Amino acid sequence: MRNALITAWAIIKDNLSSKTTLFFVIFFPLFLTLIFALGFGAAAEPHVMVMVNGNPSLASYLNGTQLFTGIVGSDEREALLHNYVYVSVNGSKVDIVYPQQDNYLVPSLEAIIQNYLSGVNTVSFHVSSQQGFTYYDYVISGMIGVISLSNGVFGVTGVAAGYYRDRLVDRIAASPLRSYEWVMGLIVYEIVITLISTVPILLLGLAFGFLPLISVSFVAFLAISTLMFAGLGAVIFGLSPKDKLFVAQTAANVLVFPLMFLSNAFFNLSAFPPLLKPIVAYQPLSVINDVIRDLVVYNVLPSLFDVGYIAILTVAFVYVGGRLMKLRETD
Amino acid sequence: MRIVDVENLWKVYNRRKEALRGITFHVESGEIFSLLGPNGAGKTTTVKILSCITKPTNGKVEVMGFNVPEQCDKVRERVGVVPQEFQGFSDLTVEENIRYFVKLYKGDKSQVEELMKSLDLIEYRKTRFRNLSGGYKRRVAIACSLAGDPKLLFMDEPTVGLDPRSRRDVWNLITDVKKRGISVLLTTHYLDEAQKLSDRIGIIFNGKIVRLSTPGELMEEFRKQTLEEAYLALMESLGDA
Ligand SMILES: Nc1ncnc2c1ncn2[C@@H]1O[C@H](COP(=O)(O)OP(=O)(O)O)[C@@H](O)[C@H]1O
Ligand SMILES: [Mg+2]
Repeated sequence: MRNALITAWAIIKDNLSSKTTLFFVIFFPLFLTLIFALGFGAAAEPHVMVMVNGNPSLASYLNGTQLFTGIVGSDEREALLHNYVYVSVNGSKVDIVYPQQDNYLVPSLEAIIQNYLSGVNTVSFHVSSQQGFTYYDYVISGMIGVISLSNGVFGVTGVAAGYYRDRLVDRIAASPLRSYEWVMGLIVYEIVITLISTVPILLLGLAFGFLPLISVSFVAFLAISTLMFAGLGAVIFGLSPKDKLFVAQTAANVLVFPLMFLSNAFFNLSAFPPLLKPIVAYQPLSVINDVIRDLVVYNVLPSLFDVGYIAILTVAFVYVGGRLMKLRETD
Repeated sequence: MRIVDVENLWKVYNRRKEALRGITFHVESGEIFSLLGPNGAGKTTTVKILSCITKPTNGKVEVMGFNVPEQCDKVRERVGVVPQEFQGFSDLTVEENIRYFVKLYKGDKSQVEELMKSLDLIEYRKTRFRNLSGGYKRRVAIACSLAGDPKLLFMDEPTVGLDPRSRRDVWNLITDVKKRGISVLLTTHYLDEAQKLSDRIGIIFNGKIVRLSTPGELMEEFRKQTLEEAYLALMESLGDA
């Protein structure tokens, strides 16, 4: 354990002293966040979207009004996260939950719904406002999951490949350091790096008006998700031939980018074609983002399923990665 | 006393590539023993097995009285290694690199200072490894290998890629190491180096040891002035056979 920590310290110091690493750890995530926040955030503003639950034809009716864009959905929190108004219809009872800033639109919306439901004698509205979330909140919280993914996977494969090339691994392999201490050293490094990269992203979020709820559970969960992806990185590296290190890095790229973009990090699940939806919904990054958003945006307890799912994957990847990523040659 | 004892050692990579085909040699305590041979002969493979990085396929290997691979934990604590083309942590300083290895080998803190002093690294202590010249990189590698006070050192091609001046510096460092009572097994394909440094040599070719001798004996046998000429004569005689 002591050797794992001194190794982690050496790796941390070595990489944080390198300009290339700093670029990937600090500037690259900031850059990606800015692109999405500015590119899609601004575009998302002028629409007034209404998510309708329980009456799909009301959604299309709203579409014809010029004033609103109706979509069908049943996830109230998702709706609010995107600054959508949420309308739930149950017979003659209509619940409306709207982001505070859309207050002035509610009377028009009520009138339109009243008009649409004219067959029903008395429509009873229940209207409440919620603190609105913005696309910035969404993309910045999503970016935190992306950081744990890219740092975890690229960190392990990239750093380990570099140390193989420099024969550091041969040197360390001849020392008393144990194989699992070496893997742990790398993983601890990834966790530290992830926590460091998260700070500028959250600061950028502040500039966009996103006030994250930083809690111990958030930091702990972020560490666990990085651990999970670092374990995945160790699996990839362990399976790759050591005389062809580019294989590990190519495999990492082939895996990370689809995971990153086929996730709920930047776009809501409802934006994906039906065929992709199950993949997007249950791939690890999306589940991680669900938990992170519960913790830093909505301030609710994450679902037990999500947390359990990530915990199981973490144990599995770290266990398999630790077995595959041997410090020494085994045959 | 035999500090390294190897008998009929075989190494087959991936069940196909026979890198070592039954080599036998030993290193006496206190001597410099050189494994001499062209690229691909099996020198690095031998060093990797002796330093417990890879496993032998067959044969008996004893390092400091411990069986390899069964007692590798013991061997790793006691042996220093300078791998071929070893680079330290490139963005750590000289001092930080040495300190890391001293800690790994549970050496005393004061050893960091001592090693820097004895290898003339004090003025470079704050220099990052990547910014050092080739010769100084080797110095740091040797300093790291001496962490934990080993009695035995493996050096794989310690002067490859160095300019003539730095090569000589490294030679001096190796003789200094010997004077400290540390036994050295080094590999090289430079014959002048082997002649200058070695008490005994083993010539390895195609995974087999073709001659165990001293530089003097070999030069005498072939009536040559340098080990290089004697080596060429030996190779010719083997080709004829
Ligand atoms: N990990 C490995 N897998 C397969 N073959 C290897 C491996 N390492 C070395 N070899 C082969 O074993 C032979 C001896 O290599 P090596 O011990 O590195 O020689 P040297 O150090 O004398 O140049 C070479 O033919 C080399 O290609
Ligand atoms: Mg070699």
